[in-house]
Amino acid sequence: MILLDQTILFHPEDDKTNHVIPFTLSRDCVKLEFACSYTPKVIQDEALKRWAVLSNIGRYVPRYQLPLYQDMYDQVEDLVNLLTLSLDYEDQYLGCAHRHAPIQTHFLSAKQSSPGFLRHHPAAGDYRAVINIHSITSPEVAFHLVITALFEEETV
Amino acid sequence: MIEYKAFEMHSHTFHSDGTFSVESLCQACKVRELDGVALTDHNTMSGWEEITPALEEQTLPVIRGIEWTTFYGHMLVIGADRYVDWRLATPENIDRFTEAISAANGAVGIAHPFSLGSPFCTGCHWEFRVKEWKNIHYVEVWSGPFPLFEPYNEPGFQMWTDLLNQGHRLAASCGIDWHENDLEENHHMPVTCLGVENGEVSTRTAREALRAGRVYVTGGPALDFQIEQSGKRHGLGAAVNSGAATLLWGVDQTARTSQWNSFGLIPRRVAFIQNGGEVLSIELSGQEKEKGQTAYELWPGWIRLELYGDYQGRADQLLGFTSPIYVEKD
Repeated sequence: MILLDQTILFHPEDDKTNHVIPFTLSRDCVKLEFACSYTPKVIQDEALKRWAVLSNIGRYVPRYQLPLYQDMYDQVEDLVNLLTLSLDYEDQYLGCAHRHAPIQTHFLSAKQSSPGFLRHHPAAGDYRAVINIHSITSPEVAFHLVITALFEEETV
Repeated sequence: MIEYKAFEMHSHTFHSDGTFSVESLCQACKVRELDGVALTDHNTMSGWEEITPALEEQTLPVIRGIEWTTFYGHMLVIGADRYVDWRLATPENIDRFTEAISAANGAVGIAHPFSLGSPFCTGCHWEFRVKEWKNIHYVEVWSGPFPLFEPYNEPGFQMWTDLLNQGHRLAASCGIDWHENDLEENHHMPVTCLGVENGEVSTRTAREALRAGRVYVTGGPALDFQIEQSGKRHGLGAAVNSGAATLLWGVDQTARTSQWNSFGLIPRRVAFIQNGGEVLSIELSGQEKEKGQTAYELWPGWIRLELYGDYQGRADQLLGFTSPIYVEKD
């Protein structure tokens, strides 16, 4: 049963924020699945890359070391967006999938959960899917999330 | 009885963005002759579920940790009794979170503070404005697979020294930040050595060592630094009084030798750094195990030992260093 199918648009002003999507599971199920994707992942825009690299390098590198980083522009292949998914059940943090692929599928179950998430029996109650917006470098990012509950009777 | 053990203190598996499994990480660390490894996946503890007594028996003890991978910096949290949420940390409120971790008996370490941040590595640069340094226990001053030659480690090391000079008490660590088994077996790997009670390697003893400052970092030999004063010996992280004291030091080249002796690493001298300045340098004779003692007049602040020598053809390189012993005004 699909509990949620939502596309959210994020913009540079959402950078370094968490977007919380609450949802409720009305009865226990055997598995909760989370299909996530976002686009664009890679931003191939040379002008934007030049601006991002040159305007930021001085924030991180002491002035005396700047000559060591002269080729930084060449070392950065492309700009990327990075958004991750973390999950909570009631007051319990269930984990996070801190990985870089823009298309990921995760699940929670009592026996095993996807890497990054604790084993969790999907009991009825209040959940939160939290999109952690680590970095947005494109003018817009579309994040698509589908949450599906698999109930006991559907496993037969 | 405190005994120092060698650790990798920063590692990742496929529970975050590493390619190691927990088991393959442990196997790789065993090959490196480590005594323990801290599992510090980004923003998750799910890898802990794979740590079993059988795995630890066959490989090595695993220290429960997590790397807070926030938008404003990365922070290693070791051995906290409960989870503290990383998601709401901002540069201005970080003290509230480090206080909560510290109250949960966790050890808090700043990871690779001078790594480049976004767009190079999102959130990797330390941008938190810490006001309560008492809740931060250490700084990872050597980071990455080639820490001796990574330019971003130099300002990180200086940051640690500056904080000590401001009167804060902080240990220092190193970490490969190991994500995949891509290091050749003959790749040099410096280690963090923790002073654990009775040689017991566990999450509890590791976090207590970090919180107490019983930490040193070495690219090669085992180090020893203590201060004797009024007939009593004081180790790393301890506090002594200003005035007359005896500095006791040791360099043991028989420790984990196969892991570093093929890299042209030759210890030449130990130096004592007080309040940021080198106040004493003692040439080593080249014996496998050397120790010595020197009478010295301490003034208030802090003092640490640094080991220098040849490394990959370069002379007088920093090969290791201890966390400080603190000196209080008598």
